[in-house]
Amino acid sequence: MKPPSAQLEPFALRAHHYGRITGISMLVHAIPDAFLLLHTGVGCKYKAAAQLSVHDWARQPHRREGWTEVGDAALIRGAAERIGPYVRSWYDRQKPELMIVCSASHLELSGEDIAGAVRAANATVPCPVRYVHGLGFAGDLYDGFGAALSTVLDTIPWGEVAPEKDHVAVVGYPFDRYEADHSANLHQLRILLAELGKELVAVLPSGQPLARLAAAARAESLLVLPYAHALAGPLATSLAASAASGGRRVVEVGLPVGLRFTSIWLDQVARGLGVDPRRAAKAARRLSGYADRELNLLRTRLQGRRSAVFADTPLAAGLVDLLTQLDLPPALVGLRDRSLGGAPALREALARADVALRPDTVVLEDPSVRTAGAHLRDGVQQGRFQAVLGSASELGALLRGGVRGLNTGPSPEHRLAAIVHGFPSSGYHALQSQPTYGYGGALTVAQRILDGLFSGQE
Amino acid sequence: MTMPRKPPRGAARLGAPDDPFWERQEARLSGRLGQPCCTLSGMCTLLGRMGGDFAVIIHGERDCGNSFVHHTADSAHQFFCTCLTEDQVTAGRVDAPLERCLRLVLEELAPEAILVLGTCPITMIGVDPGPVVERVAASTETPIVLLRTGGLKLSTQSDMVDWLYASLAGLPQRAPDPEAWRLQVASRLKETVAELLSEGTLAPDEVRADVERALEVPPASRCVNLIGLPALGVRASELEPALRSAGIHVRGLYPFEADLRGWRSITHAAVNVVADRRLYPRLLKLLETQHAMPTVEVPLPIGLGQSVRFYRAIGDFFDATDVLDRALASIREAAQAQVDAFRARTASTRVAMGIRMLNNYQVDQLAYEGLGDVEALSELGFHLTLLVQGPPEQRARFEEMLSDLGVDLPFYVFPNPWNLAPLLAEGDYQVALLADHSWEEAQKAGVPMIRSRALAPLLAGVEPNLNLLTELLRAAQGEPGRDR
Repeated sequence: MKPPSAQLEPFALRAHHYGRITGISMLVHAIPDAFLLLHTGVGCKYKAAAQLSVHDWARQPHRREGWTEVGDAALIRGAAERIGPYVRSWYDRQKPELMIVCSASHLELSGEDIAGAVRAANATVPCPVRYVHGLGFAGDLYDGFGAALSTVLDTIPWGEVAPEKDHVAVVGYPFDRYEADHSANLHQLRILLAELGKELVAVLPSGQPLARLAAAARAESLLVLPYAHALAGPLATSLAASAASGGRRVVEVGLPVGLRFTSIWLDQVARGLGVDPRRAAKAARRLSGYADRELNLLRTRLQGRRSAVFADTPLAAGLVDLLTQLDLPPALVGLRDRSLGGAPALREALARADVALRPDTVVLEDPSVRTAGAHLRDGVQQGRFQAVLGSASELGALLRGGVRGLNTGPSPEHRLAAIVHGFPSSGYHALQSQPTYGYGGALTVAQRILDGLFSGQE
Repeated sequence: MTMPRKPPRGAARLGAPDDPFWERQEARLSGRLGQPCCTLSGMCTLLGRMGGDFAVIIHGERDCGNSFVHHTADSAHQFFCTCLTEDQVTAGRVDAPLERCLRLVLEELAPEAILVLGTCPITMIGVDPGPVVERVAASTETPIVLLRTGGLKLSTQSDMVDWLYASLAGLPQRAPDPEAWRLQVASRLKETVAELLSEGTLAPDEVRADVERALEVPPASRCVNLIGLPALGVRASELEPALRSAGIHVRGLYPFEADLRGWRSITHAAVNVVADRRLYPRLLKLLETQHAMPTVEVPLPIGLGQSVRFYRAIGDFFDATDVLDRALASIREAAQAQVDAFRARTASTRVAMGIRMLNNYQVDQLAYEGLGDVEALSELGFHLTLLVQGPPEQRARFEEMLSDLGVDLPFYVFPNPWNLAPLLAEGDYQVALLADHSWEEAQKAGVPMIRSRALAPLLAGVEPNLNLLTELLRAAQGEPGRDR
């Protein structure tokens, strides 16, 4: 199968074909006492919890989702009037602490005042009810996630709680399931901040109920991850405007993924929070030195091999760093987002970390299933890479292409490590601590590559 | 901005003033037990699982391509979307992107067929893609089918599957599907090998004769299409050898094994054997009237009684009842003995069965309104209670629907799957058959659970089903701390 032409490619289903509604649903799923009311068509339900349900084995996302059951007749009569009864009915049933009402394009096109209907409904239940549009013409999962997160930030009592020294909150963590990969990442963030003498008091979102997220108000500094960079400016402005918010710092940071990017993260955080950068450098030397020694066990056995990685842009940068350090440099990089900067942002981030893509590395931006699958299959069959990191979408496109001998090659040289990571991961689930973040995350990813390439060769 | 005054927490039922709204609302409840569905979502889901050289074009905004779970879809790479912009939709300029997409797909991929699916935004602006599709179709021999799908007109899953399958069967028919023939040959050769290995009594001439028979293409007059049988377990059962002993051959298992070519050769059989003909009015009308193919209705062949009736119906059509009876005698008698022994051990077991809990478009789930397993459980002497997901205030309506289906079982109506745990615990059930997403609720209630439609089909399925139920009943008895 060939990849489609440049003319057909924009029409082809994307490998990561998720829009705002999926991102909004992901954010609501990450807050166990929030509730998502879909004011959408019945098929839009498939854009929400259904996409997450195979990804999260620990908690069913459907349980915190409702639908206003809009059909053609309701639309003709005026569908926005349905929002109030459904909000009250679901409040009565589940007593959520936050309700987010999300619309879809065709209902927005009707010209009804959906935002007004949500405001009216908000006055009739004890919890906050917020509106987030789900227009599906443009934007991606990360747009929806960020927009819904901004409504959560609005509920934090910034003006009611005094910030405490050395307390830090992280904003924009992509929590998408209640499994041990995420709890491990949160632990990595905590220990990295502890190296700088900071205490992590809240991560938004992190699988914690709204009341626990309110602890962010105790933070004197807010570290904003790339998935929420668009919110950093408005957040800083809003906090600055409120005298009662006590001059909290808002610092945009990258992702602590891969050895160099984790060290860069420590430096960014130190500088942003007014910690002596030498302290960060010292911690980075010690921790990365330890990790590097362990990685060396694998590195010496990988010479000549290469990899392919599919991830959103910030995560891809970290993984490219790690794979390069492992002497498994990427021959193919697929960027799954449409809102986090794409190839220019990737190259810029890599340049900051002094990591270079090999000249022959192919970078695909928001590739279609067809293009991702064709590049992956060709690469595997022609021996251009021996490890593939990607979500179930990209690995599915590869595996369904019928690559013979996958993981059953006669010798390690013929093996392919197919490492599922990120959303969606239908077949990979974490029963125990398996971070991607931090120095510990670098070791975990390396361990998975080692298992994929060498396990079973005894 | 002044914050609105909000009611206090712990207030009485806040939705009470909405009762008139709900009374109007529930009038839309359809006359069927299935959940409502979006025809776009449903068709994308089913086409995504289907094999064959076809293309699907979703005519709508980009996110309409996200209205099905695509990362598990085998044919996801054959899906395209016109990815209309807001400007194009609001200005009604939606024909050009569709035409361009259609022509590019034809030019680059030259698929055997193209399906164009509609979406809510297209319905909303009232544009008819028909003329564009006709214009492009006129310039090619590739069949292009426009299905005006969408989520605005709430459809039942049953209507959607029938519409899709009738559309696929309505494509120009071709010579029989080589894949179906290959499966048939493989099945026969496997039987010969199994016999060689187990008995070791086959002479070389007999092996040669078996292989030659396997390679014969049976005439259409002795072929049967099986429509609506469960996805798994049919090929591994006694079905094909038993039918073959009566000179009857399975042409295809629809829809689960049918790829595009399978649908385009569905007419090369003598009869369509269908589990629940009510599910397929359009498909069967097409096959009966345009292709003069008769229909034989059968129960979903789960459990002993339904499997026996299934074979009897096929035997009656081919005038082969006695031959089939003889071929099945030993396995049927063994199954009967197993059912009798199980029934003696487990009489009066309380079993809950959830219905109306799924929107997965599986025809074996939809057959007989989701009640296909009821007889298989009843014949074991279980005390069966139905748990119907739906608005509790519509209990009378559900009662009427069940009565129309001849079902006289106790039932409860519950509004959503997250209310199940207390209902299961109160009912003191020993086993529950529920939708797969209910495991957490079943676990909370301490009730061992079987996924809906996990029971194996046909006579070969009887023993494994009883083993599964035995294990679950053991678990129910031995579960520590179960609140009973």
